[in-house]
Amino acid sequence: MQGAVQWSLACVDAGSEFCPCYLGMTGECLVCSLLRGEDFCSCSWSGSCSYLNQRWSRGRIKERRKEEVEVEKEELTPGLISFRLRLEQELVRELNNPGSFLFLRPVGVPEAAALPVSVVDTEGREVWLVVVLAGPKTRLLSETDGKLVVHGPYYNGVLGLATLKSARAGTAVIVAGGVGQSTAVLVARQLIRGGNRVKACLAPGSAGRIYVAEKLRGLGVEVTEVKSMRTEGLPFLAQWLKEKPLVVFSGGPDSLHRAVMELVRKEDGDTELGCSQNSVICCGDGLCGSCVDFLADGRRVPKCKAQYRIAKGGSHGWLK
Amino acid sequence: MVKIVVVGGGWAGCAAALAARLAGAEVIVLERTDMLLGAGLVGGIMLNNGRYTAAEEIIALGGNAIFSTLEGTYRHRNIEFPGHSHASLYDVHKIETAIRALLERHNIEIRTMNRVVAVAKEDERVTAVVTEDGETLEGDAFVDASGTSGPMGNCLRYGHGCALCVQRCPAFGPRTSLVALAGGREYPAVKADGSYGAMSGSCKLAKDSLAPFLLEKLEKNGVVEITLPPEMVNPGKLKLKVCEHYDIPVYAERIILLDTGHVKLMAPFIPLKDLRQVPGFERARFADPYAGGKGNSIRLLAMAFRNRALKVDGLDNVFVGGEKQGPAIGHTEAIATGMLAGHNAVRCALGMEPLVLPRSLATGELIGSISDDLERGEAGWRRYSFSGAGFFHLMREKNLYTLCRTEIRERVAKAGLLGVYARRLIPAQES
Repeated sequence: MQGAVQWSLACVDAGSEFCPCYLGMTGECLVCSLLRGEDFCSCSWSGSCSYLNQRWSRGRIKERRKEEVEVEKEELTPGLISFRLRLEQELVRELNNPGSFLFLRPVGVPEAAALPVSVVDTEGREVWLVVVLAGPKTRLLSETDGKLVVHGPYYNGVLGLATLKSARAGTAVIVAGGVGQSTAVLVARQLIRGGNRVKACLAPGSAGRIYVAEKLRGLGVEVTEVKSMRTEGLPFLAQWLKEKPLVVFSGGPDSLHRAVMELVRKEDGDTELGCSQNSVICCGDGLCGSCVDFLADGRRVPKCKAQYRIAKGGSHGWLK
Repeated sequence: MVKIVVVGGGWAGCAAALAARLAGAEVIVLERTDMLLGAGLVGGIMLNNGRYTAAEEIIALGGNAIFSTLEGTYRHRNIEFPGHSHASLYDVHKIETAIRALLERHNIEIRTMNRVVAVAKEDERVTAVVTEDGETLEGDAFVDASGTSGPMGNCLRYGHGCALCVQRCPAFGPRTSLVALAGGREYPAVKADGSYGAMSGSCKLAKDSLAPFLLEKLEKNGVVEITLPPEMVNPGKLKLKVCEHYDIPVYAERIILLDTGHVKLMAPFIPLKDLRQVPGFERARFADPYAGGKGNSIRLLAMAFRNRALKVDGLDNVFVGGEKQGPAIGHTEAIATGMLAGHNAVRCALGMEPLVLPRSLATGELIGSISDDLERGEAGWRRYSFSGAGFFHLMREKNLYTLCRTEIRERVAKAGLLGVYARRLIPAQES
């Protein structure tokens, strides 16, 4: 096809109980032109009207939960820590979606120390998260016993949610390495709900260990474990792409996303893309500016809330 | 093979599709809801005042298929109601399937529940549209007949909020504009007080909620007038209406009902508690919009800048019909402009000069008058209809209004346009 497609932006919170949000109140809504101060209504439609939500809310904004929770901590390897929390059923249900994450911090430290951590999986009332030691926030968490302050739910840990949710009865591929593995299980659950056959290639990467293989196998995913994604994993992916999967999900650093995108482009099929969202998230509500990024077409977006199509030739691009 | 993609399956889109198909193109109609005809599903008034002339003119131009299909759906013919003569009312419950069958007979592909969400462009040419489910549909030329009403944000900002009208935005997603998606400019109608848009001018009651004595009279005569108690008269409401041709004091002083299958009540909305005070309406309830006690849909918010051939300014191969082409209100107006847009889309795809209708024809004068407004920088200040207000007066002044079929045919013949829409521009073996 000739000509470039101009896609609209979506917001992960649009239509949820967390819409309207502070961005709507401040004229920065990602989806609603009226809330941005334009004269006319023209949105990408999330199933409900953000403008109406804002009007009915009469200025009230629903805050996410913040509570102190007992955690069960386990050092998987030096530098790789697993946290298991028991939360209310309702919150766990909200977290059982691809891309969901929570902010964690020790009790008594400033809010700025809260670390966004992807939910690896949920079971009953239990939520499982994994942290790789990297800086002051992760160190503070690693040194804490007992209770943590948990803040959530947040949803924008992966990009391409619409693609993942619309993939039906085909083949889907997950490649994940390092702490990016943490996004793989909930993505796989979603793809399996869509009746897809799911294959996964996993590498230890910066985490030093593969920690979701067992979980994925338990779900019926065909798992291939490799030592290095770059030298062993990507050739597997290139091979799997010949089968024209509906979707490829990349969970890992941006360099992995780029490599995956390159391979998918080469294959020139209809395969869609999803990926873990790696920007530096600090507040999760689009306010602090730490995750602001520019799309290929110049639009400025807080990546903690913006969902956009990861186009292979369209205007959004994947990374700047 | 020439392919025309029509966005919007209302009266204008259906007429555009038919005209493009008659000219020999392959045609696809994309409609976001599950039914064709949009606002035409709740309208029904045809052939009143100058609309009779316009309809006969469209027939003479070659668009008789739509009007012969309409013939089979009229509930009442040749009725009178305040300010309007020789009207016919089609049955809103029968029209959609009849028009759908007409398009299908002409091998026009109809895709309902296919909302357009993006376009692909190359320079000033639209190359494809993308639907909500991700399908890309390429075309040589496009018709935007997506209308100007809604979405809910506009109904909320410029009206009383979503009143749950037949367009059902919450269920099928809001209207999207091909012109806007392609980067084209749009303008709204401006009311006397400077506010934007206009409220749809009638609401529909469920028939069985009316008292039997009223219903009997309505079904027999097609029209019922009831004088309102003085405390219920609100002339201010008329100013809200999109339909200037029904914007005369009698419509504030009386309840005027028309039988279109629903009970068409010629007011944008009436609070149910007030309406139920009127004898015969004690059990009344609304059928469209469902919240007709609160408000109605807001229209005329997204009209395109276009030329006299209905080609959109700044886009090489996009044509507009219906309210998208300007503030021309009504089914006949939508059919008239839709036919021209569809026909010209094919001419454009073939590299031919577009057709501009002369002002010796009612449709030519209608399109020309809106063009004059655009050129004077007065876009959106006036509204137009063959059936009333200023434009019907103009039609009479210019001797365009006539009930004489022969005279209308002669005018079209004199312009050299007899049957122009029915002539193939693409030989049969190529299409």
